[in-house]
Amino acid sequence: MKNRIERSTLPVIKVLETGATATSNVSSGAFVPVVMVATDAHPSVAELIRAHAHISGGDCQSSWARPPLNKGLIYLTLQFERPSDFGFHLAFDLPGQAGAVDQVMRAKSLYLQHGSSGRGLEYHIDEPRILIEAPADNFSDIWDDMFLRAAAKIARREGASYLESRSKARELIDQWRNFFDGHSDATGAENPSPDE
Amino acid sequence: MRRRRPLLDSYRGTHPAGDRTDTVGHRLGPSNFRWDTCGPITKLPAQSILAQPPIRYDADMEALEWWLRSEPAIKVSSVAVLVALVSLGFAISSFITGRQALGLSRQQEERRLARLQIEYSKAYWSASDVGRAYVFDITVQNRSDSPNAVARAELWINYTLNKQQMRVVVPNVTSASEWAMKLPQAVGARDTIGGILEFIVPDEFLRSRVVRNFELELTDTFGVKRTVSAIHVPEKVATSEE
Repeated sequence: MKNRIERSTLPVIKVLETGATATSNVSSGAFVPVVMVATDAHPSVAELIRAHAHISGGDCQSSWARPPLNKGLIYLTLQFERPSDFGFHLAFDLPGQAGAVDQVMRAKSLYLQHGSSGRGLEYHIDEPRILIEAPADNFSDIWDDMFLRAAAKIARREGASYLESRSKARELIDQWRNFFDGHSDATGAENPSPDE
Repeated sequence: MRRRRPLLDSYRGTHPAGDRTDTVGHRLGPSNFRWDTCGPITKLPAQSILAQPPIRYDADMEALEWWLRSEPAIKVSSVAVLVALVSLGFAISSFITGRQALGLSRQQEERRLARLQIEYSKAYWSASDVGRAYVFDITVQNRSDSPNAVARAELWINYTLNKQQMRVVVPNVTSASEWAMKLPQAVGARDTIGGILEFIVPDEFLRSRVVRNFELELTDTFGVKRTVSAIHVPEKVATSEE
């Protein structure tokens, strides 16, 4: 199938910090990544989160994308239809936020909330957030290769040689995925309180 | 409309135009008169000029004579031109008929497309336990020949916050009123239904927001959306009967 390239006019919102939270009533207690953006710079996003708090339900279409000239970013395009017709690109930094992207891919969902740069989820745990479903059926194969490259880059930064970096990257990915999958299985529905 | 001039069979023989002059000697007749084939100009009294029958110049006769005298190739060509002109007339006539048929087909197709027409007679809001209840009293018409249904109703609220325009949609809630329209609601072919649609907007939600207008959007079975806009939605005033 021929790939279609479209120029998007949606605003790009940079992801400042990421985290993860697990509750019993969402995904059976599995970890769901939390993506924090500067909503004070984007009042439409703040209003979207606020509207969700008052108006139940909503529709959102999501798709993953890569900017053609920047391999250090990956976009998650969110096009909301309800409660507000508004769309934007969430820009994840690679390889720094590759782990969060992998979590979103595996959880097929994410929380979106306000945050600030340099301050983790523990500082914004009481902020209102919205749960967004983001399936990545067509992108997961591409992402596996991208995640391997990103992890190899991290391994090289930590001193591994080019040849070693591929094997270390695989180990890193396995550890990362096993940690979250194992933790999700362990918690299950027995941990009703938010746990980050 | 062009008047056909009477045909004179003898204007060349008995009444050559070149023989006619007026009382002061000015020449009468067609401009293509050949003086070399006629006699000298003679002055005639005014009464005798008036007594002569009027000279008519018949271009059609000349054209016919020219055509009869012309070469066979020219005759064939002129017949071809004539046939082409007749064909052009038929083509134009067919074009007009085709356009009329297309218009009729489009009208019939429009009647098959079950598009709903929405009108609201009144809209108001009243305070409830959970917020403002916006109520729209509407009628939905289906003028087409196909049955349809109102599948979903939503209220879009356009408001401004810090000079920035926002747009939020509120889903429909089933009202307890006996006139409430319970969705999905079928609308038969060439039928009209009426009822009220209610939307609950929490008080907190619109606090310090300037509402510009409301848009009631109905989605039919085919996914076609129809919108009716309401700028002013007043608060319901309780009457003495209520």
